This record gives sequence, structure tokens and C-alpha cells, in this order.
Amino acid sequence: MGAQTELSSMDKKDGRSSGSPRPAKEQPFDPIAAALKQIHERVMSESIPDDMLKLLAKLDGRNADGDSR
Amino acid sequence: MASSREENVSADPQDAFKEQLLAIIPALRAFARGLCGNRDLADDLVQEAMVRAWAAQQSYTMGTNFRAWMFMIVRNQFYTTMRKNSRISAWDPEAAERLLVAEPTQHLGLELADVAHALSKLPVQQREMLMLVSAGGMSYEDAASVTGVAIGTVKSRIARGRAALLQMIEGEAQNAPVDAIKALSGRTTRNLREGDAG
Repeated sequence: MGAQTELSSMDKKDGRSSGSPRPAKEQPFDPIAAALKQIHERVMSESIPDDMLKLLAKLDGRNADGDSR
Repeated sequence: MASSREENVSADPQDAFKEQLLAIIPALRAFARGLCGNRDLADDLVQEAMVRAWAAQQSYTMGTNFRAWMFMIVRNQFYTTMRKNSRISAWDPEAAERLLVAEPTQHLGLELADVAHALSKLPVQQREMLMLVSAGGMSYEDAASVTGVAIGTVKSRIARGRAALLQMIEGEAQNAPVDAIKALSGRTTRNLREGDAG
């Protein structure tokens, strides 16, 4: 009940009825953050190197042998 | 007692661990690349971290924050490697710029290169926070957990890092034929928005 009261008061402060979806708060565009995200996303979009896939299979295989599955 | 057939159907913790590890590899590579600025070294760090994580998977509680746990391992591996190999110069700004500028399809290459170059000059404590939070979208709480500092420290390092990046780009722009700041706040702003959408 206390939590509900708190939520109700928060809604009143925002001037919105409870239950209505809150529109996303628009953030000012930040070119530095956008550039950092693009640098990050460029690496994210690269395919995973074969070496890593092989390593994962090797690690999994080692344990699978031990598990006698 | 469950039959062997039922055991095969049920979720296997090791398979679940492997799936999580596979899914997070791109993010780990991006973080490691941001930390050291060197593709090969970054991938070595990620592979070392994968081996360590696999060996320590018994200590990981399924359902807890796997992402933060893995980032912490990569980060620790980075600092360990840097300590052991003091001769290694992790960030190679020229290589980073070449990587960014050489992409013919990337219309933002020059501007991104400016940011990448400035990023390479930041103290690693600020760089890692920018890569975790600003670039990777990690929460302050998780970034604090990964780096072992207070949330306030995360915020202040991000603020200082951003300010330093801007200052460096501004400084470079004063000496450059193209006004990078104007580009970043004007044409580039539009391009970045378009780039985000694409």
C-alpha cells in the first residue's frame, strides 16, 4: 500500500494518470556519445573470428569428454 | 529419479554457459578494442578471458549478471597483460585512425577518426568508462561493478572523459583545415543520426 501511494504521488507530480505509458524523455543529441556508439557498433557488427569459435568448441569438447556425454 | 532422456531435454548449465559466452563475444571484442585500440591484442584478451571464464564457470551463478562478470574478466586480463608487457603500447592511434578512415562505405570516417584519436589519448580509467557506458550502453551500476569503483566515480570519470575528448577535438580543430567541432555539431550530427538509423 505504501508503494502504491508513492507511485500515485509520483504520477501526480508528472501530471499523468496512472497506467498511461510515459513518453520517452527526449535527450539532447550528443555527438560524442553517438560517435562512441558507432565505434563500438562497428566492432559489434564484425563476424566472430573463427579462432574464437574454435576455441569455444575446444573448451566445450574438453568438458564434454569429461562428462562422457 | 529423472531418466537420461529427461536429463537431455532439460537445460544443461554448460550449454547455457556456452550460449551466453558465444552471445557476448562481440560486446567483449568491442570493449577490449576500446581498451587497447589494437585489434589483435584485443582479440587475444578476449580469448584469454574466454579460457579463464570457462575454467571458472563453477564459480559463476547462473542467472546473475553474466555480462558484468565477463567484462570484469576481460578488464582484469587487460591490466594483467599491460603489467606483464610494459613494452606493449596498447593504443596505436594511427592504426585506429586507419581502421576508421579506410572503410569506403563509412561516410563518417574522418569524424569518427577524430574521436578515436582523442579516445586513444585519454587515461585508461576514463576510456574504459566511456566504452562501457557511453559506447556500450552499460548501466552506471554495472560499470561500477566491473571496475570496482563507486557509482559516483563512474559518473565523474565519464564526465571528465567526455570533457577531455571535446577539448582535444576542439584543439585539433583549431589546427586543422576542417573545423571538426562544427562538423560534429552540424553536418556530422545529421550524419550520425542517419548512421544510427542505418
